[in-house]
Amino acid sequence: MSRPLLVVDDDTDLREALEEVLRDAGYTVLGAGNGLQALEVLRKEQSLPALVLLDMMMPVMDGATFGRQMRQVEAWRDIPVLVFSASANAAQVAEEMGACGYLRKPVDVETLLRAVASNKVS
Amino acid sequence: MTPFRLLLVEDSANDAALVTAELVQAGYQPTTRRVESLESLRGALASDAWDLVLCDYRLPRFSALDVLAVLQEVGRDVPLIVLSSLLSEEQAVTLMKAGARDCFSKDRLARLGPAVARELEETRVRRERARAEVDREILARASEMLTASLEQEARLDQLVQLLVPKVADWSAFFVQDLERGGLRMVALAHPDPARRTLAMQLNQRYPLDPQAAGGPVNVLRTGLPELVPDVRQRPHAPVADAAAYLRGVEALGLRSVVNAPLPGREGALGVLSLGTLGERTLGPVDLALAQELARRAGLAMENARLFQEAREAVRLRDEFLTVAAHELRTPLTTLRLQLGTLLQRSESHHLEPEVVTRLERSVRQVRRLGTLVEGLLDVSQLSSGELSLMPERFDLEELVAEVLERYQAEARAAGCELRQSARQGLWGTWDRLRVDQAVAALISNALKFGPGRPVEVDVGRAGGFARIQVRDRGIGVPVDQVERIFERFGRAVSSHSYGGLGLGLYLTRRAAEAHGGRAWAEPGQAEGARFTLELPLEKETRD
Repeated sequence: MSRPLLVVDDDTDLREALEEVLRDAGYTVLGAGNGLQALEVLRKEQSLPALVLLDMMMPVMDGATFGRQMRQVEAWRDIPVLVFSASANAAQVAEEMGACGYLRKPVDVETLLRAVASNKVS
Repeated sequence: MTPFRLLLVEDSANDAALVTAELVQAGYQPTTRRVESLESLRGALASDAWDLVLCDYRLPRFSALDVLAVLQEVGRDVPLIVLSSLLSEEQAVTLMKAGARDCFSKDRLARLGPAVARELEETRVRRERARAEVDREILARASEMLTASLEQEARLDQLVQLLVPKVADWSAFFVQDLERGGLRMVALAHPDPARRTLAMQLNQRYPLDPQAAGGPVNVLRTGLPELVPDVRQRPHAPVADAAAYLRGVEALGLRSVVNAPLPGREGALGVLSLGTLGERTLGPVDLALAQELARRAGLAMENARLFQEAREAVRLRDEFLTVAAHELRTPLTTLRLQLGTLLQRSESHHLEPEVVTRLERSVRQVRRLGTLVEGLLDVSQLSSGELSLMPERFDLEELVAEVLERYQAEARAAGCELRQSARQGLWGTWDRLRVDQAVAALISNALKFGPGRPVEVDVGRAGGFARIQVRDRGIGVPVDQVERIFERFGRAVSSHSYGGLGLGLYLTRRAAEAHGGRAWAEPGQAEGARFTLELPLEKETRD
């Protein structure tokens, strides 16, 4: 079985819509409502995600903090992160946190799938 | 009896008495001081203001010519009349040439009264003119300063310097400081730098008493100006402790004070103070000047405040737009993904064609909402700086085709045929998103203003530029509006007839300019309007 995708976004409706789209495309999807939950998911899961789709502005733990903490763990260091943000400066944010790319909300289904496919590790 | 201040340069007490008696007889009441040496003459000129100098022709060690020289040296405009026992015509001519106003023999003292009357009158007129000239000059320079784009306190500092020493010995600006319950001195001009520093320090440590019955605080409270010709004779001391006040005045050598309020929209904003030391006094003319200066300064401060408020309001608006755009994006993303998924699954779910049409319409509307949100955000970003570009290499004709594809449904609804010129490929490095937005704005604009007629889109080269021209056959653009429509919220038509935020063309032009290109419109009521967007090509693409 291929490695799952991890979707981190505090908006439940959006997160579920994302999970649906990605599952339809044949991916296994894990969800988290903020950075702290995402770290817990990483700890619990046996197989490492092939990609983290990461929102930036979230309560409890934001995207940037999650990114930093994830990179501090040897095993998680190389998981690619795709910044998925509503901010105008998503490109800059992505560069600062060493993400593999960024998507600006809102996106089309096609754009989303293309970006995920080209950035995930197998 | 007319009082005046007479300086008598005379070594003979008898002659002095004679002159005084003659003046009294002519109806004058002179305050006289007699000096016998050039040193005491200098001292008298330095410490007091004189209306007339009467001078013996020859004194033991000097002559009237030396007296004239001293007058010129100290720069005082005081008329001098020479009295002598015996004077040759030649000597008289020399004296007059050196600046004496008149000279005559001591045995013809009857001439003195009329001569003094003439000189006092002429001096008065001359001094008034000179003063008016000084005032005009100060006001002109003050206006210049107040309109210069400087920090407010720097301007006020320059303003007080203007007045010293021409009009007063010191000058200060106080502005209202609600936190301290009264006034705060923000500028001070004073001849002695050490005292100036001390005064600024004292002012910082001890705020002016807000309950004071006189002085700047009282002027601020009442809004009425104040002229105190002699502070030593002030009927009510402005501070509670009268003795301490008098000691303070004495220590400062304070003589006259003028306080003028700075008028603001809602009461006084501050106070302009003038003061003299020693014997120099201030009068109604100085009060008038201070009031006029304060009025201009008040206006400048009020304008600066309004400007600041406007800027703050714009900042708040932009911040709001940024937050609003950010917040709108999440639900838009959800909607887009949901509708997109449904549309993708329409076949496997066996959705009816009518449902599919509705889904497609919804997708279009959500996309349009997205464009509006992006436009709003771009505008708020642009007002705080330049567009930042993310260049990538792509085929411009392909991008235009994509945009046209996106607008097909809207074109059908508007009854417009969207035509694109034949494609050959036109590669360059631009910001895809920005160019997409710009082209979309031109097409959306053409569909809006030229419904029912074809819209033609030409993509080609013009020198070192890629050129996109969008032509409609609609209402055209009035000649006087071809520039205005590219402004933010600019529109050539009434917002009652045509909707839209008035942002599309503004963003088109800004995007073009950020790339080093340009965007413009050509009018033409009969055959519709033509909009052109030019983007620079790379060197190798140009050749």
